[in-house]
Amino acid sequence: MKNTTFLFTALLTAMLAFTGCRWLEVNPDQYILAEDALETPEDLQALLVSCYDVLANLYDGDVQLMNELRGDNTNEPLSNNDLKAVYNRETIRWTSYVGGINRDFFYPVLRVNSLIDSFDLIEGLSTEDQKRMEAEGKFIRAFCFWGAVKMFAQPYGYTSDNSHPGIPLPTYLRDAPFPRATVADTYAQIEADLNDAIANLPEENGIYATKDAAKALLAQVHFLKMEFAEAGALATEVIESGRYSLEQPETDSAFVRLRLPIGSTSSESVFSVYSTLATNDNRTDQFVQWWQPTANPEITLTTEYWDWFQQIATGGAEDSRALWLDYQPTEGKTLLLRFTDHSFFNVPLIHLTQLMLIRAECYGETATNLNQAVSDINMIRQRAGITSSVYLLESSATGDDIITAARNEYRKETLGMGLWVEQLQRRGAMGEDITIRNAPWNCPGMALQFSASEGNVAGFEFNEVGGCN
Amino acid sequence: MAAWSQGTLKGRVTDDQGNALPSSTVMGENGKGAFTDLDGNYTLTLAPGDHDITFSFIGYLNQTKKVTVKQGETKTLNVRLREDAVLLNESVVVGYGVQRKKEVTGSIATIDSKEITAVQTPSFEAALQGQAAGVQVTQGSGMAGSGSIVRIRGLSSISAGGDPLYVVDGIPITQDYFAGGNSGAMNRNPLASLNPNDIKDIQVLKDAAATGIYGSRGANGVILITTKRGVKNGIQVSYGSSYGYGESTATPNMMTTEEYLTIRQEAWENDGGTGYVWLPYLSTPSSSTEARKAAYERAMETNTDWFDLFTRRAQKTQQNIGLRSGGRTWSMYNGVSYDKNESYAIGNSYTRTSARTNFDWTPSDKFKVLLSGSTSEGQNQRVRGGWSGGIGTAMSTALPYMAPFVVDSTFDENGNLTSTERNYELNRWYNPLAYQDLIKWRETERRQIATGQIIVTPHSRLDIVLNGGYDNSKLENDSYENSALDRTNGFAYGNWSEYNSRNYNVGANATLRILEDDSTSLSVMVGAEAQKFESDGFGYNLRDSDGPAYAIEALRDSLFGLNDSLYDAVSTVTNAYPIQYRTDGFASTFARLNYSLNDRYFFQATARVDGSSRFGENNRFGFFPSASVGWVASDEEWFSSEIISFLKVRTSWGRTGNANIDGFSRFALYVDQSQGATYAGDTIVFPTQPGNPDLRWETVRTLDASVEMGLWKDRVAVEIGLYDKLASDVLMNVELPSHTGFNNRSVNAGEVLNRGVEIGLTSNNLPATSELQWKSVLNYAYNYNELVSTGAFTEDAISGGTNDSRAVTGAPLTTYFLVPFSHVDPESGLPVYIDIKGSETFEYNLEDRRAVGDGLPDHVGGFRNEFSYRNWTFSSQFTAAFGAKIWDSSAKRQLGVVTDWNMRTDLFDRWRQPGDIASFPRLTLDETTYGLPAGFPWWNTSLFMYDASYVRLRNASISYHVPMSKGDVTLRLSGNNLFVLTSFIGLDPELTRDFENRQDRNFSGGANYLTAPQERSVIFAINANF
Repeated sequence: MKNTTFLFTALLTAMLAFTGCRWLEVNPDQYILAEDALETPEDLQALLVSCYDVLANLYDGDVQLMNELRGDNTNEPLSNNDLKAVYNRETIRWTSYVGGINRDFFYPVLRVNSLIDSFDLIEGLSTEDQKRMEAEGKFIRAFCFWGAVKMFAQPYGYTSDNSHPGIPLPTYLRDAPFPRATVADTYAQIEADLNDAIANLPEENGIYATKDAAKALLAQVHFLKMEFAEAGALATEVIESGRYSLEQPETDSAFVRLRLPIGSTSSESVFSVYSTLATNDNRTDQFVQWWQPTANPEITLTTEYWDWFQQIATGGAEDSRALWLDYQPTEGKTLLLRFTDHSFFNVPLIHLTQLMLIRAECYGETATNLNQAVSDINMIRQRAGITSSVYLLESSATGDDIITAARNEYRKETLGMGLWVEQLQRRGAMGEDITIRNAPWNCPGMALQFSASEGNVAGFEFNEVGGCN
Repeated sequence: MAAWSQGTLKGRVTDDQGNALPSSTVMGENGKGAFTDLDGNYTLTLAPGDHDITFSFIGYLNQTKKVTVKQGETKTLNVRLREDAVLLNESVVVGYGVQRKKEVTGSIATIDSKEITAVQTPSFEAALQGQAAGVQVTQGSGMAGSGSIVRIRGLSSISAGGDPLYVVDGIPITQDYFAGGNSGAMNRNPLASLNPNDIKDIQVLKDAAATGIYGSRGANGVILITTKRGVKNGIQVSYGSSYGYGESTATPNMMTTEEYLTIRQEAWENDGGTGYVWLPYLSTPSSSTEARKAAYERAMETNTDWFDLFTRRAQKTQQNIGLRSGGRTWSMYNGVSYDKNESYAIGNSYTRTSARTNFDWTPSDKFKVLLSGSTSEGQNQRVRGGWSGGIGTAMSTALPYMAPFVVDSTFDENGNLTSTERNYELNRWYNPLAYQDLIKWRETERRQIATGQIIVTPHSRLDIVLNGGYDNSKLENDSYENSALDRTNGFAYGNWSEYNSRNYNVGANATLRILEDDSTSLSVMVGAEAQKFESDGFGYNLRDSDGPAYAIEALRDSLFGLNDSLYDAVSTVTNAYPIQYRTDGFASTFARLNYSLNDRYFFQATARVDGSSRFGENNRFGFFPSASVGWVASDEEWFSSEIISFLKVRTSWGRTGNANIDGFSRFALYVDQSQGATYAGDTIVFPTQPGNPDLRWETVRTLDASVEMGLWKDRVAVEIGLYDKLASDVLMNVELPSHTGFNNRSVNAGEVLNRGVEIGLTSNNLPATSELQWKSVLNYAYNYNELVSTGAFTEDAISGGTNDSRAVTGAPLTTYFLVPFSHVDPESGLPVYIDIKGSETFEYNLEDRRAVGDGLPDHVGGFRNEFSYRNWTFSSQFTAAFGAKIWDSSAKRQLGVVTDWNMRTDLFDRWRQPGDIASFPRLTLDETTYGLPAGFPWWNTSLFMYDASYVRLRNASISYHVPMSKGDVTLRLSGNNLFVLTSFIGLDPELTRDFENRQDRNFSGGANYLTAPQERSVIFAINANF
């Protein structure tokens, strides 16, 4: 009996063990295991495209709004506490909106690092594709580092040697976290990535990053570093490539307001993120949500902005960009109508108008090619409907005239795109007496606080909080 | 001897309360005896003369009566037996077997069906409250279908579930609290579909000696549920019916319009405002003086009591029938029940319909088959609550000066009224009544649990058990929002989804009784078991339907594909989505050795090896041993005591585990466009989760030492236990630094300590002969909890979600991390805080936050008293918890900066002028007045942390046992949650809010955020057995 029983029990146990062990092998079917995810060149391309996807989510109005709120164009947000904290330059580790953007900037960085790390494992990957993917990856990585360092650190020039803290620079895969690099090192990394990108990016790349995009981005980097000759030269290369032309106003008022087309490439766009009509893929939620001209929009422009727009000697009543503004004197606010006529559109991140104005200011700074600068500025003013010569720059304009005009046009043209505050900070770093809403350009809270998660491993250096009010 | 020459003794054997005790033994001194029948009746033939007749029944104290019968006489003797407080010979269900209570070396508490059904609760686990030492139960909120939190000997887990393992008839059941997410600010209760009336008893396994056999899943205790089974050779019917009503235990003291406007005006003026204060929805800060005045005057015309609008007196009804039957070789239990449980929230109810059949077949003493099957449907008619709407809104954003609706009237050309319609003025504000009225929402769970056992006894010393189980659950969510709620497009939105889970178990074990004589025994049990869990589902987002699917047959037909032509006609499916398929498995082998020497020295060793798909290939298998010893000292020859009738000491050591984490945590994962994402129409793929191939079990080392005593001939039973549990390799889902590009990673880190004392006391306070009987059951537990370490991560890496609780080493889990509030400065009226150096300051600085309290009670207890007199029984059950703190997160807005929330009248005690000593600071509309950062009105100070200690009359009942010759009928009137003694100024000190995930559930035990209070109910019930 005992033998039979023993045998029976042993068999049963073995059977169960077999069943059980089979049940231990599970696969998360709706996911892809990391080891199976990147096997072909197409997989790598899909990984690369996912980085653009994150950029599209970041720049769907979020990043632009954060930077706009740090500047002097808007009123205090109506009710959103996180937005108010940004406006008041009192962000803390738990300002979750900002923390989310902090996190979003580094998703593409991880993906680019994973991409570069995977090249050796992919069969059938051509050298040409590898170079192009790496270059695109580095462009995106640089874009993210640059976007993050502008928001989460004091600007270039805040210290004489830029030894003040920048952002963590994860440039390769590792488990251990990275400390914050200095701003000098951050800019050096961005430049290195962009130079690699310029060397290997194609001139045409569909809707994705091109050699021009990398040059244009590097031009902006040099501009903020106050390296005007380099910035001007790179901007010129892109402007004179012949691939871009200024969008002209048309009868469609929405188009006039936006210059942000849906489903087609703007002739100005050097690099954009895309909303796709066909798939109802909307990448402009945050523009619409926050600026929507309802009875009580969350974000409005200041009366001072309206006054400035009206009063500066560069346009006034003739300027059709006034159509972007709805001044409500009794409410003490000005609505921005620029983003509201379409439920979604493509968002240009680098475009011709911006490059022309940067170049003009660089020429003003270096007192070279002043005629070209005058011509560029006037072209932009004329595109806005200004015809009276009194509102156009004369050919005898000085470098300072050009700088002033370029800055004014820049402030108008980039309204709502979050690009103004960095210019104020640059000018502060250049020694101008810049105050932004009654606080110095370099007050601590201008650098937004990092997400609390950065403190989850000991040793991270957070920004100083507040100090701007 | 001829019958006529004999005497006859007959009668009925019952318990204290008159319930029949079938199969009791009635024994004369000569060994001649009889058993009682199903109604407790017996007939015994006796020789003429004097006899000592002994009446006995397992679990009850024997009673011997002197009887004299004469020839041919028929004498009647009814006997009431009293429960044995010590219950030495009671059978106790242990994992994979049954033991005599005397030989049990682990810490096991037994709760029988009487205790479970005496307190009428929507879900059985709530009835465990106060019933056993070391079992802490916090009732769910008053919302229908909400579940309780059960903690056995504290809390050891951080990110893995801290709930005990529930095992029904030997099979671990699915217990996913987050299958329905946190929708409507309530988590689903996976235990709600089990019918309490089907439960025979519940054993709570507490220490490693008891839970060790469950190895990797025993760390937080195990709750073994045994369901009722049939009877041999007869039929017994029980019927129960109850009806009652319920209401909220508390009403929030929200302000009236006049009060709110007064407070708001004062805040405005304190801030330097002149004229009338601006009012949300009626004016703005920049409105003109006249406009603000007009708004104020308009507001004063309305005073809405929003809480009253959302609440009612709820009705409750329950019907259940149980049929126990059997023949010589078979027995069967059939139970059917219907339970409709409305909550006091209007529109909210949970209706459970269930049926169970348990069938046993014993064709020979060598072969036995036990089959159990249950099916139930739990239908939860949902309403929004908490942060999501309804009652929660009534305590927050629903301002008293807003009208619930205005009536729009339509007239014909003659001026006659043709129709009226409610206008909720949704263009002006988020009107919660509109969301209550215009949203239809039902969740339905259909669940089937089937278990089977085949027990083969090829030899008198060998039992082989084969078992299998299947637990299938289908959770349907069916919701609909009327088009009036979509102010932009005017679309009606609906959602219909189905979440399915399936849990398969197979197992086998064999017990060999190697040695078996009167005093010494040795047995070995070995077994193996495997479990597989799967879940999946799908859902549809709908547009333009006319109502929820449950109300529209055509929509149901189209959703189920029965009538495709209707698909488009009824509703537009805007999105059809899959619910992720998940699966995991366990495979285990285990063994137990029991050695009993002289029936007073007991040894037990268990070992289990568990493999789980949830863990990385490097650490897939875990080993969980335990060893324990028990000594019945009172059986020693030298032992002699007038007082101590029974004395047992026992101690155990063991390791158990916790594997209650997401099944895919260990994998390094990518997602692709199958999740619905593309960019500009191009394919994308990206990493979403870093893997951890080293992920392994959370392990708890438990030491236990206990003493069990019977006093005064077992009239009083006392059990005192000490335990020490150290959890290591604690599973933590840590938030990674942003710049890593990943959000979270599961790791093993950290240690958690639980250490405590448990005392249980059962006492029959009056002599057995007394007609009045009084039984008291007291239990008490003290638990010390400490997070010892968080490993390589900072404390910041582990938060309690939105509840301001987080990990603090050296402090308990659920610690609130807040800026300490000192007092209100009498001169300025400003809040005074304590900075990190201990100095008073007006500056509010989040860097000054520290551990100020926690949500885990130090002391919990229960005290039950039962008085029986003739046919009447009165019982009361008190429960108590001391030492925990409530973090009233919603008070930040109800009692803090004046915002667009209504506020509580507690705020009347605020500073108004220099010299005032007040509880609350000067009123303000501007958060910076209190030192808060602009745009950050979330005032995380200890001002809103309260002592959560309470004593509650959980249940009181009076019942009458109707005397009957056959069968019995009991009438009972009972009240639940009749009163609570507490210093908490909020609604209810006992609360369970909604949670986002397991970690949140572990960390936020004492947090309140607009949580609905408990329910008070009064129930009348009738129970009949015949």
